[in-house]
Amino acid sequence: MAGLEELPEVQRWFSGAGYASAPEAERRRLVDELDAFCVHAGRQPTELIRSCLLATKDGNTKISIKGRRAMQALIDGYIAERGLTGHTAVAAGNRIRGFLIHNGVFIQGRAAIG
Amino acid sequence: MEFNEVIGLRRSVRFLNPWKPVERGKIQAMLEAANRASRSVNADYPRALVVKRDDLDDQTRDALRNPTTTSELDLAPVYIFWYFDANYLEGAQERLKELVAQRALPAAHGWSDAYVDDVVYAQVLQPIGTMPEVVTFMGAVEVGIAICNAVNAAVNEGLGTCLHAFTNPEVVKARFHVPDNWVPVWLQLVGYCLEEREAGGQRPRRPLSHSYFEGDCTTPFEDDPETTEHLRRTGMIQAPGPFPYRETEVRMLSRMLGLPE
Repeated sequence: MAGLEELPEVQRWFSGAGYASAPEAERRRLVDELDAFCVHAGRQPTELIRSCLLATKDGNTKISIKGRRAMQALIDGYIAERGLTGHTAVAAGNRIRGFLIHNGVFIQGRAAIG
Repeated sequence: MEFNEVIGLRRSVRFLNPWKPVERGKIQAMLEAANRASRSVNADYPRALVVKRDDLDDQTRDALRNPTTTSELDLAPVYIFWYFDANYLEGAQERLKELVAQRALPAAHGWSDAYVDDVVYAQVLQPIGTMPEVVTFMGAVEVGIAICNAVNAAVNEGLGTCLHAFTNPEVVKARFHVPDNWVPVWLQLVGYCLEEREAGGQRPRRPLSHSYFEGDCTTPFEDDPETTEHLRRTGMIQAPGPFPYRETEVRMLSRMLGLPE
């Protein structure tokens, strides 16, 4: 997806995680990974975030328990599809979660301790 | 470690060292501290189940995961499941009389076996036992005091610890034969700190005058600067967070563990 890095959600992620000052190659790798996940999910980055949230009656948002659970499964499926294992697998899944976290989705993944 | 330093150094430590086991004696010290905590009517409120992470099967550990407590379960070598026993009033009559016999509850303050039997037990504790909301309130408060002792004992033993939401207690109940009358309170994760023990600096607190009052509730309790300085020197008040390198510390730990940054 062209221009992914320019999206406000990606900018927010980069700013919150300190990637904004990272070397361009690293930023490119992160964007490519998010892009690959979006293709796997068949959704745009904004839709990924929205799928984990619900609008409340007073106009605010809250976490969608079902949506977040589905997102965890989607991330696990993406990692499995890529055939990743060990630390690489955990870190890749958590980088996707990082994008969601910095956009207001409280979501945790496992730690790589093996 | 001196008491003031224990209080000052306590943090909710979330980066625990996953590969360093915790000596059983240190867990015993935590439980003994809980056992020595202040408790009303000398009742045995707390119940605790200690489990090593590596003794748990994946299915059980996964059942404990929730959105706020996931990676922490991978890191902590020891889990302590805290409960209160909803039957804590059973035996309270006899335990109170033990305190009368010890002169911990002396006649000087009006206590006697007859007072325990005829008034405290018959007119106070027995009726309380029929009021579930009061039983729950007392149980939660009293086990909280015990847990607080255990948390501070962990710090004193050089450990890190954090209290977490106790998810899926029914899984723990089935897997570990937890009695029906145990009410889940907190899951305490314990290990050695992977991050600095200061964990980025002392957490923000409003001044005493924000929450504490003197004489009446319109008069804030104001600090005495000399006392504040003493508390600073003895470690209860420590350097506030975030330390200048905290962001880097968290980033490096996150990369090591594959966690989100």
